[in-house]
Amino acid sequence: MAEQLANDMQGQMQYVTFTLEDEVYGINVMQVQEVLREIEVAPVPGAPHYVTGIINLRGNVVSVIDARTRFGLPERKSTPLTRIIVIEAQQQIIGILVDSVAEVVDIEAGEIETAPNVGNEETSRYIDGVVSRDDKLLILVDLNKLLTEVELGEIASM
Amino acid sequence: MNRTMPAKLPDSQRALADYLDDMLHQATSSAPARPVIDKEQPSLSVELMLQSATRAAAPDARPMADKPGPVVEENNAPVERTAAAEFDYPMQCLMFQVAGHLLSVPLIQLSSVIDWNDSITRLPQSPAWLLGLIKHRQSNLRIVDSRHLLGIRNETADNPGHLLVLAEGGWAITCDRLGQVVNLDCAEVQWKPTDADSMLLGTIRDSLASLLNPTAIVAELESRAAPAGH
Repeated sequence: MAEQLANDMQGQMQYVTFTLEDEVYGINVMQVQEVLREIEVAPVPGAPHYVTGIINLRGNVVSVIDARTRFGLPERKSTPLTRIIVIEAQQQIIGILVDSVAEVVDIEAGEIETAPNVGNEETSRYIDGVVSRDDKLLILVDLNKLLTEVELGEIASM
Repeated sequence: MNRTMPAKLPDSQRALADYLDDMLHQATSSAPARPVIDKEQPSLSVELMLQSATRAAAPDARPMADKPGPVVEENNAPVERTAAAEFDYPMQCLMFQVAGHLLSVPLIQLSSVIDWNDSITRLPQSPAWLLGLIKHRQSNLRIVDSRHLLGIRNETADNPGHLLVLAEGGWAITCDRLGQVVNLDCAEVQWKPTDADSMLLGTIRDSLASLLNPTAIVAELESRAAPAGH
């Protein structure tokens, strides 16, 4: 019984979903440390364009990247729904500024489909796949590939 | 006896002459008529006759090479290869509009027509010509903005009314307004040479609608979507 339950669990993963513009994205819940209501983000002179600034998270300085800028969307002023998702990627703690955080969803591995080529290697690199949900597609993002090693290096040196 | 012989000779000569005349007449009447017509008729008439011959003949009995081609072939002009021979006639085409442009597509190269809705998922950093993805019949269709694809300039940013799902490759192109399905004969299209590597097959003479080439469109889209180096 326990073995069967373990097998069932193996094919299922949990994703935290967030929104940007009209689309819903999902990131592996195992990489999410916490979700913050927007707190004051201090800008950093000379920071890369995709970095909004830094926050003080219980005494630790954490860089925050703007997901809108990263995904090529126009900038938008923060709203009461704006959140910072604190994640761990490539052994670094990073905050991601998103329009809103929606929910945690269970996704079977078999539900995940490969995203078709769209002529942009950048996109193909960090999109893990798509899942059909409520007449739309949930876009799964691989946080380990969202930033390149060079960019991670830039953030680490801030 | 001697009087009767001369009287018989003219009869046998007349009989021989009649026999030869008859044979000559049969040979003449069984000779092909087309070369005579080609010399006497202008090229347009030849084209019309070919067209009527095409209609009269059973399509299955005619080899592909005998299908009517452009007029230039009859005029001994340099032969231009077109996609005309790739279709059966009458060819059914769907007329539609994109930003005021009248377009058409062979029905056989369409998979389905679906209404535009807001369920399109836009992928981050996708190129301007790609509007996003939509779930359709267990597959994720890539939705292409026809205006961008065909280089149609138009300031209006209204949502397209429909999506034309191409038969190959999992692509769909936008369409503002659907028209009728028309039956076209080969000669009703001004075919473009296939060497032109164009996304257009040609122009429908009557309506001046551009006839899209879905095969070339899919090839172009696959080329654009392929990762660099592939």
